[in-house]
Amino acid sequence: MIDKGDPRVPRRRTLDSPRWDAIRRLVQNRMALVGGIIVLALLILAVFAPVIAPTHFSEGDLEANNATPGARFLLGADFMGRDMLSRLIYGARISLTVGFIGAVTAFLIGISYGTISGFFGGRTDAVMMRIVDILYAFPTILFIILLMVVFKTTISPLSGNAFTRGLIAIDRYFGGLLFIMIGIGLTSWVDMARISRGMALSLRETEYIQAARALGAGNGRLMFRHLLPNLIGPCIVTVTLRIPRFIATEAFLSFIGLGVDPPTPSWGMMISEGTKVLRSYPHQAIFPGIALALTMLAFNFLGDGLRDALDPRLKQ
Amino acid sequence: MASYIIRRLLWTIPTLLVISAISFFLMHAVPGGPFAGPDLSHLAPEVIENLNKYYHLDEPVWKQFLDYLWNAVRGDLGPSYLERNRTVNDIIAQHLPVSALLGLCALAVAMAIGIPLGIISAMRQNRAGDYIGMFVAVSGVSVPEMTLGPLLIWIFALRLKILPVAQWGSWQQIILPAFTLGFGSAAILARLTRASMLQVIREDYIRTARAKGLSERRVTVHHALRNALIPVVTVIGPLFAALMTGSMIVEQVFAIPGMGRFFVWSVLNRNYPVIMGTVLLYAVFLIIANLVVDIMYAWLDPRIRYN
Repeated sequence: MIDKGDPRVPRRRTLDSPRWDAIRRLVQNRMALVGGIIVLALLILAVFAPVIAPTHFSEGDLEANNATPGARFLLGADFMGRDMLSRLIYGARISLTVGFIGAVTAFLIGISYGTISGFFGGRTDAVMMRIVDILYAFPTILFIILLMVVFKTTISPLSGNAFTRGLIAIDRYFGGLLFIMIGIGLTSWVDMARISRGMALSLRETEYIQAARALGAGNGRLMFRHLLPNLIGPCIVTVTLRIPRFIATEAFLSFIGLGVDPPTPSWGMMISEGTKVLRSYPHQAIFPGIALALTMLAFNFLGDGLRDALDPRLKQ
Repeated sequence: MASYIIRRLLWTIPTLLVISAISFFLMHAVPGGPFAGPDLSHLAPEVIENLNKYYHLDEPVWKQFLDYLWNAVRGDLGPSYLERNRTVNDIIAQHLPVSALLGLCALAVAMAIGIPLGIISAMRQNRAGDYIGMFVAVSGVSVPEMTLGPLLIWIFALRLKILPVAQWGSWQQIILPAFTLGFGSAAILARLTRASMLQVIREDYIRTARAKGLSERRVTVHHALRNALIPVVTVIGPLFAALMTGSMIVEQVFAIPGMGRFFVWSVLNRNYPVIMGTVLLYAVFLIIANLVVDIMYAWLDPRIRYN
């Protein structure tokens, strides 16, 4: 019986696994912490928007349009008298949803595709990667713009069958967000597939995979229980660092009018409306711009922090 | 090496084919045509029918696609539906140089800001200069052009009144858009240069140079920089291609008559040939840029060639 109070026995920290090491490193990184807090704050704002925002995003007082920041409208009002602060808070919903959906699609589809391709190698890999290369060469923004125009014009409430009408209903419920999510989802996975395929290829030849195979593990089991856990770390980092791009894409689509439908507030659309009155009421374009930049900054800090935390070379 | 290049070049053909097919059929999935819009509704239906017939829009889509390919291969990218007497080739010839010039200026800004920033950060690693430099770098990557553009316009054009607000023509009008577009790339270059410099200054030959008694400046500029800039230089090509094809946002904000803005306008107005032409053009640029990078890496790392 070893007495734990005995000073000759070396004490082990209870939280000592690599995972806790990574988490500790992440939390110690100040910039990543700031980023994480901002993301959390945005999440809270988005989820509890109806409670936090002073007014509903479509409530406008036309008598007070273009109001400058003051007592009644903390960040001013837009051209229809709608409170900027409320619209910014509701706008967080759009941006975060788009970022999240893009990330999830990229993660699920991209990793599966890439792992399968890299693991099997040979012919399968060649074919699958050809497809990815071709899609990769397609200028993404142009593709999404084309997709959005197709969605917005073909799927009209008057034509089509129950399926498309169902889609439109969902779309309207989300304020015009569904098709953007489909568009971004369709283009986000390509990048991820490439990266995970590269990693799967290199991990395929490692000893522990060969050992598992020698022990009789089937392909599925090898991929799922052995390859995947090692891929997930870098993939999470990559996906987090891609989220700002998804958010910026949605903002741009809304900027040119191919995004959400008004009156749903999207920061991109608010910037677009604001630039029209930039000379007289700069706050209408600057505030959503700051919101957008802050969000992207937060995710970038978080992603950088994650990358540094999960970097095996920094292990103590 | 040669076989690698030839293989890659041959693959561009099916790639372009698939891309053009996808774009073409997507475009034609949009109902209505270029002549079905509300501003042309005053025309008699027979006129619209004649227009459609003239531009072969009443033929089956696959036939239109093959016709388009046949013409494109011979260099004719079709007429512009919404402007008489202008072909897509004319439009590209007129607007592409604008985007190219903008991209070039943005690249110059990126290099002028990014590379020195990266060098300074590397030389003052983990001290104040490093943190400031890297903070600027992360901001550059995070602040989108949609935020930076209006902000810069407001500060420099509307409040300080030292630069023009928007549009294109004089050299002053290039400054703000070039900076907006190039700031993000400056951040990327800064990070890359810093990482590369950090690796290089730990090399033995740098230590030798210092031991020989050379001044810090000579060590940095003459010995370290030369090698540190190699990975940076490989990135410049694709960076320029990305800047040129990614200038849509800046062109919208600053009302610059470049290809990006024209593309958006064409998509919203169903100007099919212009849409196709732009997509193919941009795709070609990106493919060539990626090809150049891949060739350079294959040259540097022989294992890639024999894959």
